[in-house]
Amino acid sequence: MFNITKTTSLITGYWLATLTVIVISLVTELLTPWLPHTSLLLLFMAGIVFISAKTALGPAIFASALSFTVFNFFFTEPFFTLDITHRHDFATLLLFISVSLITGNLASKMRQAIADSRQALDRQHRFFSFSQKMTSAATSQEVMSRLKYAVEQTTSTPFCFIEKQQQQFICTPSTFSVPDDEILNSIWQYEREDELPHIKGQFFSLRSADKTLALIYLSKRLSESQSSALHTFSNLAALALQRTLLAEDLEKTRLISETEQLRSALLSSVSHDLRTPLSSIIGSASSLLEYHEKLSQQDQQQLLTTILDESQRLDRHIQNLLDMTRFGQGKVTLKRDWVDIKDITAGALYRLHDELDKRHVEIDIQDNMPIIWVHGLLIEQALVNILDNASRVTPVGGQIHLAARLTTDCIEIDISDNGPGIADQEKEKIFDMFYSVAHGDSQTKTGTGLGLAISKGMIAAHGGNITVLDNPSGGTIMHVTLPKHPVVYGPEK
Amino acid sequence: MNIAAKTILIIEDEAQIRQFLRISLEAQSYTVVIATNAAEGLELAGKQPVDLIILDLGLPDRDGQQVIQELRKRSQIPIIVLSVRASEDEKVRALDAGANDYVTKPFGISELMARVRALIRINDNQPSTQAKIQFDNLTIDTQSHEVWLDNQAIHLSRKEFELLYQLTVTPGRILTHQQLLKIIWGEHFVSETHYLRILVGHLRQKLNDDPMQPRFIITVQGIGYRFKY
Repeated sequence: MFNITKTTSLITGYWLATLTVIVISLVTELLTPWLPHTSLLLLFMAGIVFISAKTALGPAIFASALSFTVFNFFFTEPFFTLDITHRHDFATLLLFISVSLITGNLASKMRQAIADSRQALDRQHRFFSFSQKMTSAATSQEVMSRLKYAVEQTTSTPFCFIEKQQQQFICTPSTFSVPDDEILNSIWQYEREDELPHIKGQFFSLRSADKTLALIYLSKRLSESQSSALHTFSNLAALALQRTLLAEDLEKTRLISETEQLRSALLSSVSHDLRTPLSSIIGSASSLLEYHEKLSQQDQQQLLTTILDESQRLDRHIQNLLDMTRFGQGKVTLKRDWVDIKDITAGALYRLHDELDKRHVEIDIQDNMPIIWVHGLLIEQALVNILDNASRVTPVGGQIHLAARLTTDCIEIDISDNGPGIADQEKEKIFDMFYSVAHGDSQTKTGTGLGLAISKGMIAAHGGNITVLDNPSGGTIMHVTLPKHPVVYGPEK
Repeated sequence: MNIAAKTILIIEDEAQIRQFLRISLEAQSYTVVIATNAAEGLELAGKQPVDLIILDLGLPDRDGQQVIQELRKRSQIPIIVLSVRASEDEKVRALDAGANDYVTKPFGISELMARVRALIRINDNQPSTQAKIQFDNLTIDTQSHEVWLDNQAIHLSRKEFELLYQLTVTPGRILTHQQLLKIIWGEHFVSETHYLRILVGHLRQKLNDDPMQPRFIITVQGIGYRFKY
């Protein structure tokens, strides 16, 4: 690549030299009546300095030779021959050729120096931007992928990364042919390449203070400048890698302790939230069994209703706990299908009809809603949890409003209640599974429980989101957004 | 219709559930026959005339799906399946194997009773043999493919009519997405549920049926559709 441009620029240089000499000859011809004969040579000298500054040494010498010939041919007696009559002409021409060679040489050396310093600057710039990229890389993967890009930019030689996991060398790409494990091991153990038996390729190692983090293996040896560039890249990448590995370790420890905390919070939640409805059920059932003869028809009915209501509440708790553990373990796979938002809403309302029938539920769904690409039951469950929450904070006879509409890029569902509302500092926390678990289902002032955290998880799994807004008429609006998917229309007719 | 003459077979291994089912069904004047496992259930179903089977999918001796297949080899007795939550696949498989309906545990008795009544009524009426099917203000002529709503003729496309016909010929019975797609579009289209969603949408619009308060077509989320009974 480099060679081709060099040749091209050289050829252009010779053309430029020729052209310049022709133009100067014409100008000289025009100026002959006004200038002393020998001064005309200065014009040619100017042309040579110009060519030397613009191109390389070759064209400069060529321009000198051409100028000499042209001047000799056209401007010295005898004209139109290469013979020289006057002795001073001969001396002038000799002087001319030596001066032009010296200036040409100087100018082209200067040009080379400029090019060199420009290249050095460029390399420095590349290192600087690489080191910046390394500093900003957040994960080890990012470090490696940026390093890969940098190596690719530096050399066209095929290469691979070698990492060590559980005493095994892992090569990326895995198909790359690398020296055997013995050699890899000694390189990994700080040994120098040149002390090892003959290796075809070249290694660069990413090392921290006390251990090797990764190796780069190139299938053949590099030139000196490429080698030094790769050394710099490897060192910078090793530093970055050390940092990201440390951060990842910390994150892992944090996750483990968080899971532990969640587990213990879950246990206390289970004992509290499951026992509360169970107490009512056991109490009501045993009362009925013991005293049914003494109880009025109305009281018996009331106790039976309690048993039913509380069992259903228990069932919802259990569903929530199951959903939460499934989501916590990341075991949920979305079974997406095309569903009608109206069907989902109707399903959610039906499942809560015992609770919602005691309140006024107003539904306002736009007519032009497209069918959506979601796991229907999960979205239904998410709406059930939000509606359940709304109904819990809405007194009997109060109003709940559900509105769904289509915007340019998503589907929005707003569920509003006129309950006590949620304080600003709680607005984010109520979706935090840990917070919800720790506070239990019935202990929070806002009445939110696990349900909202689960809803958020379910909606987020679909690429959507839930946020809490204040209802202008008092209470809360749960604002759900779901991404819109283009429907592929089929042969329905 | 004489309910007292109807016999219901319960195949369920859990004593508590058998008990409340028996008490409630007998209170509704059904004759109840009880089996505690699959083998016993299949034997009883072969021995005496049964009008409806309530089958638990989680039996100790055999997979409930197999029991459905076994029963379907012999007869078309309506089957209601009892299954646990969060297993749409299991429900769909049961329905595809020939079960008529399902109830998810835990369930209220009124929910189950409604299904029982509907299925026994369908079996009595056998609407598939009639030339005209009538539901409230909706009339369907199965011969001429004409449909009237409030005595007003409505025009349905061929596929819309087919969908309506399939749902109404067995009202109350759930037809799964796969069953409907196979009947209406053919074997190769069983995974193209969006065709079905769009067709149902069009049909609902023509029948003036609001999915939020359905009069005719009820969506069973993740499973299929049923016609309201």
